[in-house]
Amino acid sequence: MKFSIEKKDLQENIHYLYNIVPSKNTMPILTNYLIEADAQENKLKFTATDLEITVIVEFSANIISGGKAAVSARNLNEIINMLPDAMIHFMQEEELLKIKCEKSNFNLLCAETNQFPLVPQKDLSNTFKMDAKMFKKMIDSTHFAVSTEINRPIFTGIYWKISAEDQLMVATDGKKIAEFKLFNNSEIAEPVEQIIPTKGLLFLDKIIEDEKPEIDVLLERNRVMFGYGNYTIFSHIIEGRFPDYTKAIPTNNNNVLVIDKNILREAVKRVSLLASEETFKVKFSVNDEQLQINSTKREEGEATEIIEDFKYSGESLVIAFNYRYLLAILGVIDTAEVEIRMGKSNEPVLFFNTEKDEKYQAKYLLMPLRLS
Amino acid sequence: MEKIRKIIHIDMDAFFAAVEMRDNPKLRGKPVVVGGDPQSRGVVSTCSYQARKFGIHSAMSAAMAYRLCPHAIFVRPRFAAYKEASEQILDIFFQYTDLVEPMSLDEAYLDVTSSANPSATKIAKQIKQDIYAKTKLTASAGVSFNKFLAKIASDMKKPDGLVVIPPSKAAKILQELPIGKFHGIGQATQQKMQRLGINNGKDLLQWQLPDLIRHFGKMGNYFYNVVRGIDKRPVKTERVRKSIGKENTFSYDLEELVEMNKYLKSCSKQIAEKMKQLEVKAKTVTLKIKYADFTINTRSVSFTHTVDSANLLYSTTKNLLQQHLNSTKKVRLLGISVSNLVWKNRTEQLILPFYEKYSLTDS
Repeated sequence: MKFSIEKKDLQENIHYLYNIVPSKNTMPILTNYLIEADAQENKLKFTATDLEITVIVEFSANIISGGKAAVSARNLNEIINMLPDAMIHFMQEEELLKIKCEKSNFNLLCAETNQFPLVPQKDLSNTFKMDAKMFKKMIDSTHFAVSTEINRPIFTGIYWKISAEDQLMVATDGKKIAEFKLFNNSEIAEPVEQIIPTKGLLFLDKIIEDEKPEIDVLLERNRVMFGYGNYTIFSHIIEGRFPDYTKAIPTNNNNVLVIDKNILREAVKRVSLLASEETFKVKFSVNDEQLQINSTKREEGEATEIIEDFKYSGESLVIAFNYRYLLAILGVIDTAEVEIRMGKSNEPVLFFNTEKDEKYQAKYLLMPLRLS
Repeated sequence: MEKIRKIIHIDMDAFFAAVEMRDNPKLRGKPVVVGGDPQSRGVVSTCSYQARKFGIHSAMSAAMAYRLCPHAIFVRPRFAAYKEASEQILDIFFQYTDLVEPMSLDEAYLDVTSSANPSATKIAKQIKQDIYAKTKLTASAGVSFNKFLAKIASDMKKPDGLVVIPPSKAAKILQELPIGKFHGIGQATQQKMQRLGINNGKDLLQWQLPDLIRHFGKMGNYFYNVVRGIDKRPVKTERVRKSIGKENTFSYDLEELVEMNKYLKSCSKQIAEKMKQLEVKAKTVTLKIKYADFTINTRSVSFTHTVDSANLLYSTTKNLLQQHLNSTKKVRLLGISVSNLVWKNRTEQLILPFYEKYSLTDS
């Protein structure tokens, strides 16, 4: 194998790939990149995997002779980042990968390529296409609600349901639910539902950019494939049935607060300065005239903020939230104002955008903190 | 006015070495050094009081310890044994208060301000006795109105000491205390203090806050306060309680089932109250029977649901007693404990029911 490529080209193409390389090496081979060079196509292919997710990136290079090698991702990454902006020449000689750039020379010991896990074949025949920007929005609007409890695996991913009329992404950690519904006609014949681990989705989220509008998706029984630009991403799927979360969403929350999102966010941030570091509690007391937000930090002090500019219909109510969750939800509200529908102090609260969008509908639920 | 707190500091005496001597009689009364190999670069973890006479102390290199006392017995640490003793000691603390802050395997602070027994000194004495009875190890206890002074107190009469520093005596003790004995003052700080002419508490007391902060940064504030007997640090408890129990040795050995049941009933009530107070439910109920011949029998029942009512505790333990009581013997002690605790209110965060119910078996 022998090829050359401009440092900038190479760096740009494999920049995100390093995130996939596992830091803890349960299987040492996984700390390597698999590099494959195709002389006929004049293409280079880099693969990284942690077994749950596999990312392949393909791009043009000047291939003199084809071949493949597995080398330490960390070493290669650090070397490339330090090299000058110039042409880099790679040459495989027995178990060494020789890297030459201007006056710098590196020899990297290669691992055995046959140890590298089998990389699935890219297959675009049964894929359907999605608007990449909208897909990114779906991920952005839901991933913050994913659970990190590994003993409840089905909640550690985003539930994704695709039918002919719409698409749904849902995430929950028991304290909050994020539900994002996209009204579009998918090309899909039969409805499918899967739970996708966040790692693969967040990788996509990172690489999606304006220039490339479409993403290819292939949902299979035990894995999902995404094709986007130079990238192909395979992710495993979390087995199990996502429970019916819709029963948990209240329909008769009649205490409705409509308020400027940024005013509320700034107020919560200020009050949170003296919130407990264990519960992250901020307390809302709201009636027709006044919204009062306050916090208390034992042995340190307290904070209060009063807001008078809002619309409220309902009975006067005292309710407490973990401010970090509250801020996460306000962060994904798209409109200048937010509509907060509350029931009683110990019942789930719903958050909505105040204007309807023709393309989608987002709904967020937050469980309050118990009042003491 | 703030209520005066009652803080106990318990410090096990030469803990690791004491455990080794307890488990190996050949070591008793000898200089014992627990730590690394003296032929290697290991360090001393703990050494017995006999070894201390030779100038050996914790954190010294094992090789140095060997030079100081070549006939000392060097043993490798057995952490499992220390951990076991430490757990037993912790269990004892929790019988007196829920506010226990373990600092390491052999040291803990207890806040007994709200304990039923108004005398912290008596509690400390009792704890020392309990520790010895259970582990055959000695501890030194310090009693005072804050953590800093309680720690100083426990260090004053080691080993097997019990020192009380009431508010009226604090000032005098602090003034006479050599600067190196102030907790938080290491060797480097001590030298710096001495260069500034601070050799004891009395010298330190002369310094104004801004000057201390100028020389010692944030710690200046701490020094300024502690030398005045001010230390507001609370006893922070982190350990989750694993069981709640109560037992009683009767004033005379019981023969009548009626009498035993009567005790079980009142004991169930007390445990249920404690569970309510702690906002906890339990899945396992255990009955302990100690007979007049000191043989002990414990029987447990586990439930799939949780238990928190006095009635259910009573009926469960009554049944256990009926099934397992050896009626040929008299009963000296009965006890009930509940374990497999489920905390109702560990956090204030409310959780969606469908999420909480979900478990691996559902998928």
